Amino acid sequence: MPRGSVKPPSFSFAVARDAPHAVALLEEAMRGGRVLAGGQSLIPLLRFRMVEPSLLVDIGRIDGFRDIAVEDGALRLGACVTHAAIERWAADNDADILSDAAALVGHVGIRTFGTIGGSLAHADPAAEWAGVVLALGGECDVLGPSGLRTVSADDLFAGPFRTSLAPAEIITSIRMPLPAPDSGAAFEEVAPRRGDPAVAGAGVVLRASSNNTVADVRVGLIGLAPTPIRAHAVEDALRGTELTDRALSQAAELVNEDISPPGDVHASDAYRRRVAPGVTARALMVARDRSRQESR
Amino acid sequence: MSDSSAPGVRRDATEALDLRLNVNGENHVISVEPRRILADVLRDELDLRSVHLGCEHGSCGACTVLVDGEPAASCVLLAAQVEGRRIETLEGLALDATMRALQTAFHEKFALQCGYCTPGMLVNLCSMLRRQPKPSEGEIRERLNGNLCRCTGYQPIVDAALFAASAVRDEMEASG
Repeated sequence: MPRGSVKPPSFSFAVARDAPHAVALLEEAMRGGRVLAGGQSLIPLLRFRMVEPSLLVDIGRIDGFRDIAVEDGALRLGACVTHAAIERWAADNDADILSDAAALVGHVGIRTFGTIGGSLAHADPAAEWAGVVLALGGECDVLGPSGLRTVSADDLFAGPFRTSLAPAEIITSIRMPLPAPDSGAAFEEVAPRRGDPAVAGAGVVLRASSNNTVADVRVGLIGLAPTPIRAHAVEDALRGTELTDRALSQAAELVNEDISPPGDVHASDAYRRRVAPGVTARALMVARDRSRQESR
Repeated sequence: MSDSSAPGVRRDATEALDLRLNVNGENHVISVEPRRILADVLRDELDLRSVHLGCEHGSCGACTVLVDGEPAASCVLLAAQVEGRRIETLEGLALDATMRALQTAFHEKFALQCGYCTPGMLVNLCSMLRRQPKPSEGEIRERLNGNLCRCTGYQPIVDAALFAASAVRDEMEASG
């Protein structure tokens, strides 16, 4: 960790007219270009001199990048939708898992400018939105020199702070299915203080069957591996189990088969292993309780 | 002089951007390198010294300003990002009735000692009380997550916020 922050290094600056223009600017800059969305992760990197791009491409003024829409039961967020905007939308639309997560992203000042596209592209292994999009089974629309493609959340994260995006590719929007009426969704995390980076977090979408068992479930974990991951062992164990606290907790214990937690200044790997089952179980129980209510 | 935020314009690192900034109700044109941070531009070009530099990476909240009425960490914004937006610092909020109630409350409840975190606290709380006239203690504490204080232990700040919220509501009732 660098000792202190200074002022950003020099860079050229361009405001992208539209997504193809942004891609063209990045391509021209070869590997020297960086995308500026909200800047809430990028500018600290610049201030710590951890990156020294030759060109910043501002995508914050591209038409449609701040749009929020529901299309065929799925939420579509433009890449530059802010955490604060998601927080407001979620409150107005009873989207519990989004409310849970949005309140935990940084602090209020960061949420005014930070964006979901920026968060996913930054690929912090402890990013709340990563746990949410994994749990919801979300996808990113990506534009690059080779054209438009779709990347599922499961395929987005390649390593710590590294996505599978090719050079000059940008996320243009994020789509995620909203939980159905027979499903419940929740996000929980453990952090040294509220608003600190998560040391362990779990996003859960759980569909209940009519005989009170788990019909289907997706669990997205953050802070517990080099990238955000799915908890496949937990998911496999849960399908068909009863929706009791005991059964859910037992399945959550299997999380240790899925995770390879880092140890750092925020928490040791041992601590993360200690709390992982509990935070997973809590998210499962809240999701189960919500599946029994009307809200999603 | 072209609008620096006009899409399509590309400025080289050595070229200054001519930024049109609206700060505390006044329009300014500031000519700065693209890399210039909003907090530094407010302090050094506009002499708005209430904007304090603490951690300079977005964690401490001492640099909090309002952008279109919402709190933002000005040390992790480029000045270029807020062209066309409405920026307010403590200097510009000084005559706001809610801000004056907060300042009175901070004074009466001993909510500052060194005063370094204070502008950020006040700016954040002012924007909160404008939208949430009756916050709970828990909501205030959560709202102030990103505003660090090394002196007071936070309780006097929370007390002052509750006191100010109550004073503002009483004032609304009295004049309503």
